[in-house]
Amino acid sequence: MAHPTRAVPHNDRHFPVGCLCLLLILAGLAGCSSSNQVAQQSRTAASAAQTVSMVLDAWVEGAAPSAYATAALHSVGKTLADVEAQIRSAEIAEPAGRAGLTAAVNSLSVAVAHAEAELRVNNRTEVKSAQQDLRAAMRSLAAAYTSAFGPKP
Amino acid sequence: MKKLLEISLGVVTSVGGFLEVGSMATAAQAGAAFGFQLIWAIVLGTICIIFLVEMAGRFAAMSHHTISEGIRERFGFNVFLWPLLVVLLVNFMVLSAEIGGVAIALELATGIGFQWWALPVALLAWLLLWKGTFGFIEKGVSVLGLVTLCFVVGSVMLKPDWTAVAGGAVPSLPAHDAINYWFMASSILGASISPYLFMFYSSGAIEDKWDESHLGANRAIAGLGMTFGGTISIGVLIVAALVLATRGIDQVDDYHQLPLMLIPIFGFWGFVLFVASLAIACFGAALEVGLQQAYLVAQGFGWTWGEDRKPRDDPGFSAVYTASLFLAAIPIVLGLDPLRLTIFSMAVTAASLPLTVVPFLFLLNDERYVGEHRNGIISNAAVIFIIALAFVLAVVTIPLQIFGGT
Repeated sequence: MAHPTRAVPHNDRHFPVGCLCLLLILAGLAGCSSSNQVAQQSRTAASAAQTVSMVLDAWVEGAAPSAYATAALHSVGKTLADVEAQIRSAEIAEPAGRAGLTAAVNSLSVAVAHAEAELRVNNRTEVKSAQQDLRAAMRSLAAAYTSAFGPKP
Repeated sequence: MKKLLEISLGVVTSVGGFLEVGSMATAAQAGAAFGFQLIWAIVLGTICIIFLVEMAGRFAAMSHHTISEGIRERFGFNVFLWPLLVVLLVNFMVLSAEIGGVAIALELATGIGFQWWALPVALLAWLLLWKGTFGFIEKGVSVLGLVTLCFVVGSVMLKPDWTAVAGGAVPSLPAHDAINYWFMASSILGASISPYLFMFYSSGAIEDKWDESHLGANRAIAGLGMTFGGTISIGVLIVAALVLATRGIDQVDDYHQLPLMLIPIFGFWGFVLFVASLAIACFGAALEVGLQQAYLVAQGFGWTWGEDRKPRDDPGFSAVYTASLFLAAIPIVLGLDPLRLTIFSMAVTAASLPLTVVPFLFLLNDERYVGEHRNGIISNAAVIFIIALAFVLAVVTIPLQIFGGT
C-alpha cells in the first residue's frame, strides 16, 4: 500500500523445483493469519479504487460510455462494501490500525457512491469533484495501511 | 497454391480459436498481478499445445479416426468412459464461461445485465450450428477473431522493455503472493492446453477429409497457428502489465476492469475493440466447444456425426450440441459471475489433463493407426513431459485455489 502504483515486477531469480512445496506450505500458513487477510483486503480496496479512478478518467475524456462506467462503479462499490465488512470483522492485534483502514475504505465507498450518482445524471462537474474525494480517500488508505503494516520505529 | 491457401486458412483458424475467455482472463490477471513474470507459463502452454495439436492432426490424417474414436477403439468403452465424463464436465464449464464471455461483452456494449444475454447467445450459437457448415463455423468466425490482434498492436504501441519481456519467458520465483502466482501459472497452462482444442482439431481434420498428403500442412498449421495464438495471449499479458499494473490495479477480479486495458491506448476505440474481441473470441469458442461436446458423445457411442450433415441425418449429434448450449447458458442466466467461472474452469481443465493426454502416448506409437508416421524421440519426450506436467497440475491446482488463488 505504501507503493500503490507497483512497477512492473520482473524477477530473474530462477526457482529450484524442490522449493515449490515448501513455498506453498509457508505461504498457505501465512495466508491463514487475520493480519494478512486484512492486508490483502486493503490491497483489494486500493486496486478497486485505482480501477474507479481509471474508469472516471476514461469517462471524463469520452473514452468510456456512461452505462459501462456506471456499472463498473456499482460493481466496485459492492467490492468496497465487502472489504469494509471483512476488515471490520477481522481480529487483529492493533484495533487502532483496523479503525484507520475501515475509515479509509468507508471514505472510498462514499466517494464511489457519489461518483456513481453523478454519473447517472451525467453531471461532469460533480463527477470531477468525486474524483478529488476519491484521490483524498486513496491517500488516507495508503497512510492507514502504512500505519497498520509499515515498519515500526 | 491451394495448399498454401489451406495452410493460411488453417493458421487463421488456429489463431481465432486459441484466444478465448480463459486465455484472455488468465493473461490479464497474470499481467496485472505479476507483470511480465508469467510469460513463461504462456510459452510453455503454447509449446505443449503445438505438440498435442500436431499429433491430433497426424493421428486423424493417418488413421481417419478422431482422438476420441481412437481412445474408445484402442482401450475399450469402459476405459473411454472416464475421459468422456470428465471432458464433458470440463467442456460444460468452459462452454458456460464462453457464453458468459459473450454475455459480458454484450452487457458492456448495451448496459443490459449479462444474465439477460445468455439465452439469446446460446440460441444464436445453436442456430449457426444447426444451419451452418463446418467450413463456415471453422473459418468464418475465426477470421473475425483476428480482431484480437489489437492486443498485439497495443502491446507494441506501449513500447515495453523487450529485454524484460524476454526475461519473463524464463521461470522465476514470485516476489509476492506465491500461492496466487502458482495458481495463475496453473490456470494459464489449463487455458492453453485445452482438451477441446486438440480434440476439436482432430474432428476438424476428419470433417475436412485429411489424409497423408496433409501431414506437412498439419505441422505448419499446428506450429504457426498456435504460436500466433500464444503471441496474442502474451499481448494481453503485456498490455495488462503496462496499463493496469503500472496504475496500481494488481487484482483483476471484476470483468468491468478488463476494457480498461485498451482504453488508454486506443481511447474510445479501445473500448470498442475490447468488446468486439471478447464477443467474437468467446462466441467462436462457444461454437467450437458446443460442437466438441457433440463430437465427443457421438464418437464415443459410435453415432453418425458431422457438422456438414443435415440435423435429421445425425439426430443424436445435433441433440447433444443443442442440449449442451442451452444447459451451459443456465449458470449464466442464474447470475454466476462469468469471470469467476472462467478461472475455476481453467483450473479444473488443468486438473483433468492427465486423462486426455496419457492416451496420446499409446495412440501415436501404434502402427495400426499411424503407420510409419508414429512418434519419434522428440514427440514422445514431449508427450511424457506434458503427462508429467499434467499430473503436477492435477495435484496442485485445486489446493492452490482453495488456499488463495484468485
